[in-house]
Amino acid sequence: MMAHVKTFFKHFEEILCSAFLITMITLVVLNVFLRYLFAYSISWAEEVATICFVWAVFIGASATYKHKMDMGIDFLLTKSPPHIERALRIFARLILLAINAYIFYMAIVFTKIAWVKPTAVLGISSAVFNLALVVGFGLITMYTIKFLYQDFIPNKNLNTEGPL
Amino acid sequence: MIYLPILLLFVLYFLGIPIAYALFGSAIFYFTFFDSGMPPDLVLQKFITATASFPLLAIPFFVMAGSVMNYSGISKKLMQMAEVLTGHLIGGLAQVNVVLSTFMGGVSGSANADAAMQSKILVPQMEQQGYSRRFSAAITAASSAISPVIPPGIVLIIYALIAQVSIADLFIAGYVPGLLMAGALMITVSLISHHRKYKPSRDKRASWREIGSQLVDSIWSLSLPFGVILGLRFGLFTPTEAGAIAVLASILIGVFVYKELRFKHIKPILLDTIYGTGTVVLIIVSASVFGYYLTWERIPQDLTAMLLDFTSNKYLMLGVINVFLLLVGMILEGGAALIILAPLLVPVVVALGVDPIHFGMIMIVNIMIGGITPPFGTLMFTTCSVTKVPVGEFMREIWPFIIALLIALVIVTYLPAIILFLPSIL
Repeated sequence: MMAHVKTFFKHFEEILCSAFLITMITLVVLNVFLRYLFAYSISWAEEVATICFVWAVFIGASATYKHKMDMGIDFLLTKSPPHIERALRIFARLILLAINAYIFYMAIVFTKIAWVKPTAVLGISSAVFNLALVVGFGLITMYTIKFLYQDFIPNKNLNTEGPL
Repeated sequence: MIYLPILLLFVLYFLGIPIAYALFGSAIFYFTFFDSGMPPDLVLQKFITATASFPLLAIPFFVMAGSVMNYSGISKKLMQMAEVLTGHLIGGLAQVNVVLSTFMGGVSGSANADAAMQSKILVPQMEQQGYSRRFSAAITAASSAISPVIPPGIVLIIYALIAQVSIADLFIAGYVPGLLMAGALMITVSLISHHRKYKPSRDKRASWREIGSQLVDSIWSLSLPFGVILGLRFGLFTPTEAGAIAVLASILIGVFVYKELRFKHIKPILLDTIYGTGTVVLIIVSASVFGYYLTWERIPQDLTAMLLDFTSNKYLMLGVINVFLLLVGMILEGGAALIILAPLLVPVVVALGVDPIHFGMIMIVNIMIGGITPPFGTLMFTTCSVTKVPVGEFMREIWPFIIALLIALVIVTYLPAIILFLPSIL
């Protein structure tokens, strides 16, 4: 049981995104079939699919960040002597932390504002979109802190090369 | 001063910060520290509104369709087809490499994914048959520049959304430039292979019977993209729906026709899609946040005025833009370059009477060439890292292919008639 819980949290983003993706695709395909077979369409399908998409994007962004899969270049880093590389890395990571933490903070502020605004079709709180940004950048900020820690205390078993 | 965020973008990018984060980081910097009259939390709203767009859903769907096809045996059938068609030519496997990328264009949206896949599968085979590894890596990178141009593809969808042109028209327009690139590369491969005595991979030309039976075997893989494009063309479904239908169709083909798709493939397919979507869409959204700063400062208008001041000759202008794009493409990732620059450049060329569909082809072909060009081409990095070929060695082999693709680019740029012919009759 504990093992399951552990796996769940380790792959939290991936599991969540999979659910969103499957929902999205099912709704869109279903609507095409309903339209041609029964001349009917689910009015809320598009909105729910879009909500799922927003979540899949920001939680997915956190997953790619966690695995350092985002596109960037490490040209300058690899061309620098080791001690300068380390300093540059820490410097860049601190900038990233500032950016991500700031977005996380503003996302919270903005979610509060959006709370009272209803969405177009379902009429639910449009914070349902904004919360994706809060959760996504909350996780991203957390990983940035973790990476920063690894920059300061290098661990031989971890791969610290490549872009940030 | 108003250009400071652009400078900051490059500083952050060269520090190793991923392009998406560098983009919104510098935009946020602008809206926070400059007296722009716009509260920074409204930028956050841009993040959400740019993402909550139904047409963008096409992207994860096409990424997923590409991944499903990979696991459902569709890529394998395409490779067999390419081998039957071109294996007998001199430089056989190198030709197969080019034709496979052209076929793959129909089923895979991502040049990087193609480059990685062919580096893993074809490069070792080519080495076994006596090709040097660095040549194999170079042709793999060069040929993967073709697939984003062949429809349907994510890059095409992104451009259509930005330039507000019909996705179906843009898809159809992609065939001619894609085939031109393939032709240019095949001629180059054949010249080099003659010189180096690279052998064909099969003894003689495949008989019509062989080709016929392979065609029957591969027909599902080959016709799926056409189904998607025709469905769009006749308005049977929207681009987003087309993506979802493509996923469904490839699952059905994988399970019932080729019988290769298994339950265990669901996990890697979902992971491919999650990571593909996470990176690509985040870049799109970040670029549109950055674009918000650009329009806020009226930089597109300034740029347009500056360029039109420089020349109002559309052929000269296209030449200048091409040189500029090649330089940008060498540094920035293709998708990001397209998303940032298309909104800036499309108004300029449209003002001079260039068809936005034609211009889309120029931009995409151009940016893909940038992707294989040192020092920072992303396709080059992907191929070099998978094949373990040092960038220096890669550079010595890639230049003939870059020249070949540049010739194709010149044709695409200055003969709009051959590009716009297909969308006009279909």
